[in-house]
Amino acid sequence: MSAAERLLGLTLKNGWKVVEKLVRSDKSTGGCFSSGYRVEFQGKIGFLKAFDFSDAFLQGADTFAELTRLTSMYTNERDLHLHCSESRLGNVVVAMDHGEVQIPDMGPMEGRAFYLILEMADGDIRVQMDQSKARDILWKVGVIQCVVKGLWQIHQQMIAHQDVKPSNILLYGNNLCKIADFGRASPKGRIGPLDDNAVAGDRTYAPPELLYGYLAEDFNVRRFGCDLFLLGNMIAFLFSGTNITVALMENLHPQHRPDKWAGTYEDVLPYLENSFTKVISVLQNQFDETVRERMVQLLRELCSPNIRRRGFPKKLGHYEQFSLERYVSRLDLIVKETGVRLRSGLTAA
Amino acid sequence: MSVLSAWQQERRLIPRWRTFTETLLDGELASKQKQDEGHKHPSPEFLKRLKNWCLTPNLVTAAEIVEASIVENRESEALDAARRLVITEHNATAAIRRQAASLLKRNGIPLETINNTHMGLSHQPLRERAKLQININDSLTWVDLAFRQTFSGRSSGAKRSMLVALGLSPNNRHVLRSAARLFVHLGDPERAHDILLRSSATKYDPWLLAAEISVSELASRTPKNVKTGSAFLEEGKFSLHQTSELAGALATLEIGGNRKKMRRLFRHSMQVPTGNSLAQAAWATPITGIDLVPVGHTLLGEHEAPAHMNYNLGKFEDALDSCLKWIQVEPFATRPYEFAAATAGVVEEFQRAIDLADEGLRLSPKSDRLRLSKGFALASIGKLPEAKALIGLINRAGEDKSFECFKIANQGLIAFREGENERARQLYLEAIQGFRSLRDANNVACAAVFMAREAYRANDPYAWQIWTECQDFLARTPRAIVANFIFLKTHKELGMPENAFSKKLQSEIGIQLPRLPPQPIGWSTPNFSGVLKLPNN
Repeated sequence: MSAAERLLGLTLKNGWKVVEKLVRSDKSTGGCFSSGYRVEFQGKIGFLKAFDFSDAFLQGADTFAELTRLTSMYTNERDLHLHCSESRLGNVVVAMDHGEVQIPDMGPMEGRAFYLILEMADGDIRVQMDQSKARDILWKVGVIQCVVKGLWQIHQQMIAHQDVKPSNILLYGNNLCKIADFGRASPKGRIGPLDDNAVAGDRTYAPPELLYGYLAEDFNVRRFGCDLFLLGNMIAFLFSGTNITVALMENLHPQHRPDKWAGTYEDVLPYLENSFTKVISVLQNQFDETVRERMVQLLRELCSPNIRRRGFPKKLGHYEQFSLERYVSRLDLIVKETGVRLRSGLTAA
Repeated sequence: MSVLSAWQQERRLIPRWRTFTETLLDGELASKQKQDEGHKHPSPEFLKRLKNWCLTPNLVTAAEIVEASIVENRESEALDAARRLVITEHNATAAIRRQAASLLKRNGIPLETINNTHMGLSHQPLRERAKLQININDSLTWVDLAFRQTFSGRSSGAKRSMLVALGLSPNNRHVLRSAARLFVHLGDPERAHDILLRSSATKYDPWLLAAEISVSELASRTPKNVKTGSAFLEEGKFSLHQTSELAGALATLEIGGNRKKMRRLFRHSMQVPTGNSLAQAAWATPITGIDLVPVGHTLLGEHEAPAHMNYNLGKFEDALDSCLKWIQVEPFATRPYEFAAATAGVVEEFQRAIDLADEGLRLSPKSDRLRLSKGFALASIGKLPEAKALIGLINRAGEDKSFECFKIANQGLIAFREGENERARQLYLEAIQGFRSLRDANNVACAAVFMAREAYRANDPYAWQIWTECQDFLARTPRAIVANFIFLKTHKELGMPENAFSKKLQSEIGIQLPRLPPQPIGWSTPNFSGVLKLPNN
C-alpha cells in the first residue's frame, strides 16, 4: 500500500481527522493517482484528496524525474484550487486546507503523502445515467447554469479547466453544483505540467480538434475552445447520459477516425461536420420539448467540431469568441423561462 | 440504328457521383495510409475505467467503459459492459443503451433479444433540408442536396447547393469530385476543370488528379498534372486502390498513343479497381483490341462495367439488365439511359426503349442519342410520323458527322416502312457512304445489315442481293458485334437455311469474337456503282 492509501485514522497537523476511506477513491489526475477520505475538524466535514507518489519509487522508475512531474502536478492543482478559493468563486469547489503528512512505519521519502482538503459533496451528476434516479428539466437546466457560471468564473481567472466531465460536476444539496478537479487545468501565462499533452483532459470527452492533434497556438483558442466543447458535452450528458465526443466518433466512418486518419484536422472537418449533423439529429429527440430548441442551439454553438465556428456566433473570429459571459445570461433566461413554462403548463419553447 | 452511337461514345474517367454514404462505403474517401504506429497503449483514463468496471460492475462503470472504448477504438474490450447495459440495466437512459447496442452490432454480436426501435437503432433518417436546418455548415449534406436536385431536374438549385458546399469545403475530395461531375453534367466542363485546378488539394490527391486529367480532355484543354500523376504512380505512396482511377485516366490519354504504356497503366488500374476504373477498362477493351479487364473481374454494386463487358461479348439482353441497374445507381446521369434505350432497341424491346429514352430526355431534353433511340423504336413499331418528327430534330451537321449518318439511316428505315423502297435504299447508301468517309467499319456493317433486314421486311426486289453482299461483308468484319447479332436474328426470323456463315456466327455470338487482320472488301448495291474501300477495323 502506498502512503496515500494509509491515511485512515490519522490526525493531521492542521487538526483534521481522517475518519473514513471513501470507496470511490480511485481517481486519476493526469497520470497521478489519488485516494479519497472523509475528514472532520471542528464539526466541519471535508473531502481529503491524497496524492499517490508511489510510482516514483517503483523499481526501474526514474525517481527524480517522476517526483518532479508528480510534485509539479500536485503544486499546480493546489495553487489553482487555493487561488480559486481566495477569489471566492461560487460555483467552484473550495479548497479548505492542504498539507503533507508522514505515515508512521514508512520511510521519509515514500512515506510522505501530500493532500488537499476540499468541500465534501453529496455526489456528482452521473446520477443522470440512471433513468429511475434522473431529475426533472428544471434541475437539469439549473445544473447547466451552475456549470456555465463555474466555468465562466474560472475563465475570468484566466484558467482553462480542460477536464469538465460528469464526475467533476459535484452536487451540493438540491440546487447547487460546483466544478471540481483542477488536475488538468492550465493557467494562462504559466506553463502547466500537462501543457505538452495534446489532450490535457479525458480523451472520452475531448473536443475533436485535440483528438486529431490540432493544437492552436493561441491559449484562448486551444484551451478555452476546449472548455466550451466540454460544456456542450455536459448539456448532452444531462439530457441523454452520453456525450458528443463519443457520438461523433460513433458516427464517423472508421477510416476517418483519429487512429486511421493520416490527413490534417482541416481535411477531416467535412466528415466531422457530417457526423455532427447525425449526432444532433438523434440527440435532439432526447430534449424535452420545453427546452429543445434552445438546448440544440447551445449544442450547435458550443460543440461545433470546427473550432473556428465554436462559441458565440456574432463574435466568431473576435477575441470574445470563447467568452462565456453571454452564455451565463442566456442560461439565466432559460432557467427562468423554463420555470415559468413548467408552472404555467406550457410546453412549446 | 442507334446502338453504336451510344456505346461508341468517348468515355473519360469523370468522377462518379453518388450520395456521400454510398461513396464512403466504396472506400473512396479514405486518407493516405497512416504510418503504422504499432500497438497503441490505452490511455490512463481507459485503464482506470476498465479497472473500475472489473472491480465494481454497475450501470455507471459499464457506461463509462463503453464510451471510452468507442473513442479509443478498443470496442472489443467493452463487450461485456455493453451486453450488461443492453440486457440487464433497464434503468440506463435510452441513449446509453442505444450506444451499447450499436457497439455490439458493430462487433457482430447477435441482438435477437433487442428491439431495434426501442433502442433507437432504426430511426428514420432525415432529408437533406432537415439536416441542413440542424447544421448549415455540413458541406457533404449540401452535396447530397445538389445530388437530389440534379436527379429531380432542378439544375439551378443543384448548382447553388454545390457552390455553397464548395465555399464550405473547397479542398474536400468528395465535394470537388462531385462539383466537377455536376458541371460536366450541366455541360460546363471548363468550369469543372477550373474548380479542380483552383483547389490546392488537387496536386496532392490521386483521386483529384485523375479527375483533373479526365475533365481537362472534356474541356478540350491540356491536362496540367500528367507529370505529377505519373510520379504518384511511380512513388507508390498511395495504395493501389487510391491510384486506380489515376492510372486509368493516364491510360486513357495513351489510347492511340504509346500502346505499351497504355497497357501497363491499365494493368495498374485493374489491380485494385474502383467501379469507375473497371468500367473504363471495359469500355477501352474493344477500342484497343486488348483484354484489359481480367477474366471474371467484377465488383459488388458495379453495373456500368458489366454493361460494357456484356456488350463487348454480344450479350445484349444482359447488357440491358446491367444498364437498368446502372440507372438505379446514377439516376441523374443521361449516359445509362442512352445505353439502355439503344440496347433495348437492339433486342427489340421497343416500348421499353421509348420509355427509357423518355426518362433520359427528361434529364437531357436535347440528347440526340436518345432522340435516335426513341425515333428508331417508334419507327420500328410503326409510329412513323412521330419518329419522323423526332429524327428531324437532330441537326448536328456542323459538329458531329456521324449523327447525320445515323439520322439518314433512320430516315431510310422510315422510308422502307412507308413503302418508299427506292428512296430508302438511297438513304441507307448515303449513310453507309458517310460512315465510310468517317472510317467507321462497325457502323457501315450496322447500316448494311439494317438495310438488308428492312429490305426483306419491305419485300424489296433487291433484298436477296443486298442480303448476300451484307453477309460477305460481315464475314470480313467479325468485330461488328451489333451487325452480326442483327444479322443472325434476322437470318432466323426469315427462316433462311443455315449456311457456313450463320453457323459460325451462331457459335460465336455469346463469346468474344476473334480479331481478324483488317482488309479492304467490296460492297455494291443497286443504284450504286463501284467498290467501296472500307476502313481498317
